Amino acid sequence: MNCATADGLLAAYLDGELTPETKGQVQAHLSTCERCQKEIEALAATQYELRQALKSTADSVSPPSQAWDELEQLVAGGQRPSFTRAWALWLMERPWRIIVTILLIIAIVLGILWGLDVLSARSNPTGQGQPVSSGASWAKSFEDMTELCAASDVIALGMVDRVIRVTRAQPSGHLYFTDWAFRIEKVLKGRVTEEVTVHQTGAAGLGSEIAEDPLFRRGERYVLFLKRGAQEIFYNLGPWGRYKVVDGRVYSVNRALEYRTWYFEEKLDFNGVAQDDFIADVTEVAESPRLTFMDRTRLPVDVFRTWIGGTITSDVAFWTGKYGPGKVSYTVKRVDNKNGDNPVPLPEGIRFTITPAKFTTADPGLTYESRVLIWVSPDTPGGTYWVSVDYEFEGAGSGHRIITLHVDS
Amino acid sequence: METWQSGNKSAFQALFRQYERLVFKNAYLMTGTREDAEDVLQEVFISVWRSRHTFDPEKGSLVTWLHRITVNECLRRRRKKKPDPLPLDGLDPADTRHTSQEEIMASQQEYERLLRALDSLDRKHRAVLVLRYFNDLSYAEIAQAMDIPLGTVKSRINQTLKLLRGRLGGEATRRGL
Repeated sequence: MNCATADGLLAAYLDGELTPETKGQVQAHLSTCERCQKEIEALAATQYELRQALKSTADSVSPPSQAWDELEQLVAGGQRPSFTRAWALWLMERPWRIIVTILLIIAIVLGILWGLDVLSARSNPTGQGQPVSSGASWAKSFEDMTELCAASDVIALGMVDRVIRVTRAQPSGHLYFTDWAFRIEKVLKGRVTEEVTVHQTGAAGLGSEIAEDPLFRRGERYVLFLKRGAQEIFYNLGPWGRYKVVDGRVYSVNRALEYRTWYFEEKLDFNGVAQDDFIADVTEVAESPRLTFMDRTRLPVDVFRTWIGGTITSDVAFWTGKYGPGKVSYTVKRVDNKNGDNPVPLPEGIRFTITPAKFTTADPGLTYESRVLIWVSPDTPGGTYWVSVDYEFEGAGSGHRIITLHVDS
Repeated sequence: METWQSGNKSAFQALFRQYERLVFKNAYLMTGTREDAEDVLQEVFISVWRSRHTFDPEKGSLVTWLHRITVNECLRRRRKKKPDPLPLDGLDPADTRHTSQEEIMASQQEYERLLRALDSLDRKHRAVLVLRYFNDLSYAEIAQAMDIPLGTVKSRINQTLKLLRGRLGGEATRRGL
């Protein structure tokens, strides 16, 4: 088999979609062709990242809650009138609707021209206007408070104080960002000054605003879960990263902002929890040592996928919580299920190394990263393996994290 | 014949509840906009209701049938609007390990570039990737769902993955799994 033929079969090879005969021919070619080996590694990486991206994106959306109600009306009515016909009937019902519609069309046209900078300069960036909602693909949703805390560099209670600046994504674009001054009242995790800058997509009065994560307003109090960006600018972790505090009670976005935030239906739904209880719970979770494997986006991941003969590299972060200084040591073992009930030998063909596997921590509240390398030899049977990484933290006890490793044959 | 096929509304509602997330998520991934995904969800189940007599479980699974209607509806619709670009200003890409701030931003940029690269694909190429790498359908199932030959599925997946990788800048390094 030559390179051109093999090249056209690489994705099918990775997907296990070749006949045994063709698979053998591709394997034979790969064992002698370095260029095609590199190509298949790159394709496998793209496949993996694509799976992650599709899953994360899909996790971030759910159908609208009223979907059935609308559908029921349509199916109950039998044949639907066409949109144009339905609209015409609606207009004819009341003559004033025609006038209002014309005015609206004029307003929309003017709005478009305004948006294209054809008309006059922008209004005051801090002024309140009617936002135009846009969708957002959050990098990840969070299953529970533990996962959310692990992904946050800083968790703090505070108040939205003022707008620091409004910037535009591109000179002629319609996407704006607002940097807010967030005045800290209490730090639950991380180290920050008494005021931090929080970067948010959208700008009041200028159009773009993320519907699921609407703009803050001055004077609002929140517990924010923040990711640290360049130049000490912070990003809240999407709608999951903001919890509004009103009169000593805590509300998640779906409760506080009356927006259809469907993704809170099953998780991280807080509706008037006492502020002190919420803070105590978050603090307890945030102060506990924790291991986190990270994907390319530096967000938590527990499932890895590779193929026979493949290699995985990742980082594992150790959050010290409120403990330290002390010594940390890792040990790796295979377990027979994802609950880690029984240790079983790791196949000889799988090497799982962590570097460094021992280190000494300094003050509490720090994160230490180690590099993880998983190598699966060509003669290892495919299948699903569960691997537990156990840590022993001097003075703070022990813990573990279990990952799922899928080896595709 | 299933109860919903004989026109029982409660059974149809149960069917809707069971599959609305699957259809909506697929529609969102294939079209890239929430607005389109909501329309597709509605159109798919209207089609299911109207064509309920034609579905034959012996010829294929209900899920495959739903995939087929979803793909057809997504391909039929014209792209209304591209999603807004994700925020990238002020981010400083870096290539050094263990320099957390820069690395966080660089990794986020890579992830966002992948989503944008995906968005740059036309819908028939995007659909094939969604069916394979989100739904884990076999090539034969994809061929059935998209009504295209098996060989076309094979070549389209290979071609689209390469295209995607090319748009990502041809990164061959496997890291950060």
